[in-house]
Amino acid sequence: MTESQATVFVVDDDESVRKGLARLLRASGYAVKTFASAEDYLSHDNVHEVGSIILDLSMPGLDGIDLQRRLIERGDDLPVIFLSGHADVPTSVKAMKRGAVDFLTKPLDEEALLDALHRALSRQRRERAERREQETVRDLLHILTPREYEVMRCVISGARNKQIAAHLGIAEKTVKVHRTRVMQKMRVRSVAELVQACIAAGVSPVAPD
Amino acid sequence: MLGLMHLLLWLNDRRSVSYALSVLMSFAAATVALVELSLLNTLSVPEYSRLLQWQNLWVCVLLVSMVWLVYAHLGTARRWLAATITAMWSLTLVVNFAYPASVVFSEISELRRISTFRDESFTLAIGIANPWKLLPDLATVVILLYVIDAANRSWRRGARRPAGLFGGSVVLFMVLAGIHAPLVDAGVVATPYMVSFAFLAIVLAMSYELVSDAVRVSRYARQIEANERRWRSLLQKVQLAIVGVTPGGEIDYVNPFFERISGYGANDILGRPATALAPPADLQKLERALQQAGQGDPEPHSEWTLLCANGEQRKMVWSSVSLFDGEGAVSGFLGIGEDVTERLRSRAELQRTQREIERLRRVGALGELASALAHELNQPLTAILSNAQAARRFMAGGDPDLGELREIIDDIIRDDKRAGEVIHSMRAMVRKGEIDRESFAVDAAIEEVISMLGSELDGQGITIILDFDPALPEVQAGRVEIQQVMMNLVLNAANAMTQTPAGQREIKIAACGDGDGVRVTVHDTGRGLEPEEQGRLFDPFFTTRPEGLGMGLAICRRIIDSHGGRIWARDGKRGGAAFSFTLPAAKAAAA
Repeated sequence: MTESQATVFVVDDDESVRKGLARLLRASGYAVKTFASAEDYLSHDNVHEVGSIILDLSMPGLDGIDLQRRLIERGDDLPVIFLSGHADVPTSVKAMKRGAVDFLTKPLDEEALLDALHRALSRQRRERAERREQETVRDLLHILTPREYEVMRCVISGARNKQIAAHLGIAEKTVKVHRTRVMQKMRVRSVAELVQACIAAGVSPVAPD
Repeated sequence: MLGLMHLLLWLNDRRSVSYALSVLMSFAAATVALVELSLLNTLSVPEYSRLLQWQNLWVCVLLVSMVWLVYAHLGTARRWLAATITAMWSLTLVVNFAYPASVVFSEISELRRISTFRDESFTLAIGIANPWKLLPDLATVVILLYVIDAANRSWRRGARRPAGLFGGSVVLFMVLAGIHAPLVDAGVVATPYMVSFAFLAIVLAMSYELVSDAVRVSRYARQIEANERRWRSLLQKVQLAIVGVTPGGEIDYVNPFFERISGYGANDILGRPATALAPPADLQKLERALQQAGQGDPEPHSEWTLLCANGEQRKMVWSSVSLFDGEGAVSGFLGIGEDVTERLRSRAELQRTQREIERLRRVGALGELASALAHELNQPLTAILSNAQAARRFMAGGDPDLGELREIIDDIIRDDKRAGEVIHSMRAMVRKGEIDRESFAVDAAIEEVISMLGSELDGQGITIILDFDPALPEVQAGRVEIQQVMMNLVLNAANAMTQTPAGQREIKIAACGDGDGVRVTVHDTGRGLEPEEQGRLFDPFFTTRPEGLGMGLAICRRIIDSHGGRIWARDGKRGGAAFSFTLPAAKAAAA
């Protein structure tokens, strides 16, 4: 189970709450690290961990919302689950807009918590996979020659070889060669796959006149 | 001519007795002069005698009117002297007409014609002097004395000009005439009588005085008129109600502002008793104000309601002024009233608004209370739930770690107790319950609290200084509640000194008599009070500590309030903060 390798980071100023949550999470098969304040959490580098943060909204010093902002700023991709004593709509909306997984009200039910954690971890997995794919495409793009890159951008715009040849001022036959090389280098079998890879890598199409 | 002029003045101003008398005097002087002229040309004894009688009559009129003129004009003459002179002259007139040759002669023996240098001659009577002649001579002397006396007193009073003119002219010419005439009568000098010249001079001098008086009076009149215009426009336009009242308590003046606010026209209200202006409830106040003003000692400030014509009542603040006449008697008074109805109304509205704000603030505090309560209860409840669910999972896994389970249960118990404490402190805050009151010594109760807290305070390096008045009365209060207050205050003091250097942490607890009770002060050497904290210190949930619930001082205040005491905080004299409260002494509370 992938989740058993995940670590849950609990940030709450109340020691009893920290202790209780830690026990529950451990009993549910997670590794747990606890922090008494946002500052305490920030002093640790947890950026590449697999897991999630359970964050108390109201704490002395930096509160939950502040910590969430800091995490986004420093590129921490751990998904955040907020805990709050009462459902404060404006704050929860703000938190959710910034990408929080859930906003749970204390005292919290174990199922709601575990469900939120489950969603958080699968989201992290998905996001990390997407990111990995993106990085792979970027790596492949590097082995394209400048000419192949230009031809590729025209291809993903849906242009025919003839149009591309006219646009770039080269023979149609040459376009065909470049095109085959692009498909090979990018490890795709169809133009559809190529378009998908380019979108993931953020490559924009160029339509020939 | 002068007579006519004075006649005109007199007609203009009939109140002036001076002008009437001076008309009479001028007329008499003119007549005397005419008769005297006839005397000088008379050749028969009977005719001379008759003319002499008539001349004496007019001299008498002239002198008597002059005497009363002096009396009226100078205002300093003695009335009894004037009356005496009048009586002497009346008697003289009787004698004058009883004798055939007037009061001057018993008998005229001959009429002598005497020539003057310029071919002119005049008649002079020679005869036996009448013994009654002493009477008018004496009267003349009395007149002299009378005028000198009146002028002298007038002079001293500062009215120098009229005194000088009246006194000087009368004395000078009376002396001249008074010496000359008897000499002629006695045949010592052979000149005509010149009485009329003397009289004319007196009349002229007096007329001058009276005319200049008239001029001055008209100047005063103009000034008075300007003054009056000023006062009248003030009374007309001022935004104060002004009511004039006679000493008898009748309204004799109201100004337009009064008419406007009261709805009474001047015609409706003038002549009515002032007491008609107050509603029955305020009648006594008004009567007292009227009575005070009637004694010349008005209340500078009184409040009574004005009962308007339409029955409306207006709140007024009055000041009264007594008016005095020339003799210093109260001739009436003025009530000057300010309409404060609107002001009071807006003040009442302001108070209502403040009450409403206070109510909303309390409701808000209740909301805060609920949210703080929720927070305080949520923490232990969250911990309890998590622990219980964790325990269930551990047990579901089979072969649970009993040590871990025991720890979990201990934590659950601790958190549950904590939740219970929160609820308990809330109840203490909200409770209106009965407190078992007993009579006890505050100092002993405080010492108990200190010994309870002893180890904790020692641990923080805090020195406790007790300063109890040996003659401290016992208090009537709930002992446990007061100890709770003390505990709160001492723990707060300790908490305030966490940043204070270790050697300087000191809590001084003083108790002393305070009026009918006892005052206890807890004084620390901590960070003191921020100005913005002072007003809110005793509010529920106001706290400066992250872990504070903000209930401690609120509970203290509730407890002290319920004992009829007072609790307050201020910056201490030696830095730090000082919290004080008072409690009634046992006897005072029993009474």
